[in-house]
Amino acid sequence: MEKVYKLIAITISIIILGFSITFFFLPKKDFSENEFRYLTEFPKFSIDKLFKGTYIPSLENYTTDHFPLRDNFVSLKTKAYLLSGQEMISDVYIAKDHYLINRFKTNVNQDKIIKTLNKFQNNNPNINIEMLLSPTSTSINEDKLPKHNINESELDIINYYYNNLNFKTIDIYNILKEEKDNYQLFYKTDHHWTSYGAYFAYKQYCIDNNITYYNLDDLNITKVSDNFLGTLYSKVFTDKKYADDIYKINTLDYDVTIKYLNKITDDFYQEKYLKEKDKYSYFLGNNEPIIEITNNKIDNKEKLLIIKDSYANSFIPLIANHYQIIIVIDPRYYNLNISDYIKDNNIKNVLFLYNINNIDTDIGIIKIR
Amino acid sequence: MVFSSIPFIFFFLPIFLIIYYIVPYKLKNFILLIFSLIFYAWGEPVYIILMLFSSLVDYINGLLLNKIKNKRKRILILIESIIVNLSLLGFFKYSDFLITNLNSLFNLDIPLLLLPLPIGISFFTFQTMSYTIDVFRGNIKYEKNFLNFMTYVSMFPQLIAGPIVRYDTISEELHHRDISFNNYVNGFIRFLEGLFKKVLIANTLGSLFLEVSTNYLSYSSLTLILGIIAFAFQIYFDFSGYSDMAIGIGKMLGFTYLENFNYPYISKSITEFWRRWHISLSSFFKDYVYIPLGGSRCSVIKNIRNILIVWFLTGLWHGASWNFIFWGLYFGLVLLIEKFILKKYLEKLPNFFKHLYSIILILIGWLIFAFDDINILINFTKNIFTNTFIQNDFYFFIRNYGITLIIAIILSMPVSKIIKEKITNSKWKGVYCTIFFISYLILFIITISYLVSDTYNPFLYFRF
Repeated sequence: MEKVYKLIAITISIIILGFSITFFFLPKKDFSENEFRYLTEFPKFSIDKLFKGTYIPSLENYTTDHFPLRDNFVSLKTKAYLLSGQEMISDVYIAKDHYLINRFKTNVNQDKIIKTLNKFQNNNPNINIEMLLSPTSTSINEDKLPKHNINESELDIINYYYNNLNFKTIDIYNILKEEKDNYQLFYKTDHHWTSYGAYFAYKQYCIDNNITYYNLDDLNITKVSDNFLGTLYSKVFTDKKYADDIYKINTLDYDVTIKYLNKITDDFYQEKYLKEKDKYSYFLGNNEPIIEITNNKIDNKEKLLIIKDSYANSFIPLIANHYQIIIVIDPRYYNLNISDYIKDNNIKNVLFLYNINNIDTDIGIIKIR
Repeated sequence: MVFSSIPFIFFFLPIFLIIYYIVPYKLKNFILLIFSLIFYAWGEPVYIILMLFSSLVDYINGLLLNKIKNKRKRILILIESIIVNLSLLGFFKYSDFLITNLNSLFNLDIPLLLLPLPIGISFFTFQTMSYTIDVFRGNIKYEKNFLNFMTYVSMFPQLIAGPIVRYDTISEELHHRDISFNNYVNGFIRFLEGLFKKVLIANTLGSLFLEVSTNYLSYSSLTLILGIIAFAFQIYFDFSGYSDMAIGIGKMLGFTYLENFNYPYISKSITEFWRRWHISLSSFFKDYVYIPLGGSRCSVIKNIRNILIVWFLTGLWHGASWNFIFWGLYFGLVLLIEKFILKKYLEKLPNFFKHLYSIILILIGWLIFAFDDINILINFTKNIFTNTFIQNDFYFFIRNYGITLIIAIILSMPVSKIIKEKITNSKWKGVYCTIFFISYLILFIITISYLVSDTYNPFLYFRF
């Protein structure tokens, strides 16, 4: 026994020294692809920072952020967690068929949000306003979750919104449930819906609004990426093997002009993002306060204003086939009065599009006027 | 700096140990002092003055007590030491608690001081104070060398979270100690075991308790009880793990600290529990409060008074909040009942019921300890009785944390001792030893992966 102790103490002491020495010689990265953030820089010493108590924590974070084999250690931790029986890491379930699925917690702000939206409707009495609240993988792919889980019901919260909003609502829960075994509606490694999920939301929207929609068979479906590792992957850091495919689904001959705040393009899809970590931004980029999309093949003067979160980004390329002009506002970044915008631009149709897991904490929707 | 962190394990400790082992014997205390001061200043560059002050005062008290033979003057020195240390502790730890209570009692509006709590103040004030008391009583010889005394007070292994090491325990080793490879090995293993307990068990069950305590309104009764059990293990593995690490590092340096925990959860009564839990604290209160007050060698009424005073103080020492005081008095009361009424009956019960009785009372104790907001404590307790008895969430938590809980239960019993003895006498010694070696290596790597992941913090600005 004594001998084993000696062996353990010596071996682990050497391992510790090995890591400490390697740490000093290892080139430091400044950006972590997997976490999508800048790592802590070596803090410059100052007496002031030391006494304020900010110097030491950054120094400590520096050692941990740049620790040798850091990414391997993080994925080892995930494996150890799974081995010890844990099925959820940072509020993400490690579900069946390599799906990662967000935990859904009770919403707390729904009454405030409903009040804000109903007030918005009062301010714009003659406008056709609709709400499309999407469920997420959490409820649609329920059967992939552990049998006993601690999710609240997404459907209950969606229905709560729908029963209390004073305007038209679009229910896509059923169509997604019906189609979930035929198509992959949500990414396995990301919290967004796939282009298929977006397609069925589009289909339901069209049915509810008497628009003749395109059948899937009539659309052109192209795989544009097979190595998408999304936000859920970043949170739990499981196996890289099970990356997602990204599809582009649209008519063959769409012809649009898209005006961003500081650029104009002729396509929804931004190829450059497929080479980056944040591949979902392939759909209409990200963090744009306002986008104006003109369909050059239609001359019906129909305008639609979409107020939305990022779920809408893969929905918009489809619905854009039916309106001459679509204005997209992301109220997280758009700080002006939307009601004024509606009056000034003579808009008749407004669509709110959010997913139920995000709406509660969305910092944009709460400031809509 | 905490022991269970990358900077400590990979930078502070190895650099310190290398220097400590290399320098000549005479310089070792000095090196230990310097690194202890760095260790303290690491988190609290300003409050280091408090510790220096407290040490200086009691160092001088020791010198004076050695010179002065006049009894009255000696008592004055003793009182001065107690006043200085208790005021330090009182001012920095309890003033906001006092102000809050005065404000609500008399409808006042005194602003809070909002002082951060100086690290280790509850420990070093007790250590320096006990030194003066012991010199006064003539139990120990005074320390001539200030550097040595300062080294004793500031010694980083036990500085932050104990055990409370009395001067008596290490006075000899402060001057002559055995710094050997054997001690390094045994200390290192002890440190590792403490580290595993803290990181792999305490932190994991801590997250279960956090989950339950933030959602106690909707979870089932059994889940709430499971949450309290998780808390009981969290606090035991956290605290005893930390003591293990302290004792281990002490050993590596050549110091022998007394044990602080002795498998408290296998106790057959609450009296026994308090002989096994945080031993250095209970014996401190026993030797410096209970016995001086007359202990049990006085009338029953006085004895009851003494017990309640000790347990009021024990509770208060744990934190500046009413729930800790209730927690202390709760145990005081249970101990009184055990002592004067239950003792005869308890002895006749089969062991199983003795354990059950103790565990239930201990868990009730942790329930009081866990919530420093009295309203949450009351509501949580109420919900244990009013929520649905069992739901999905209970099965989920059992599936997710069952293995960790079972390991925690096993490690709360003296099985590892038995296993180690078995291995030494077994025919298959070689095989077992290999398994032992490999498991420690794996546990170490996993522990590091947990620590490295601490700052793993995906920034999801493209979140939604």
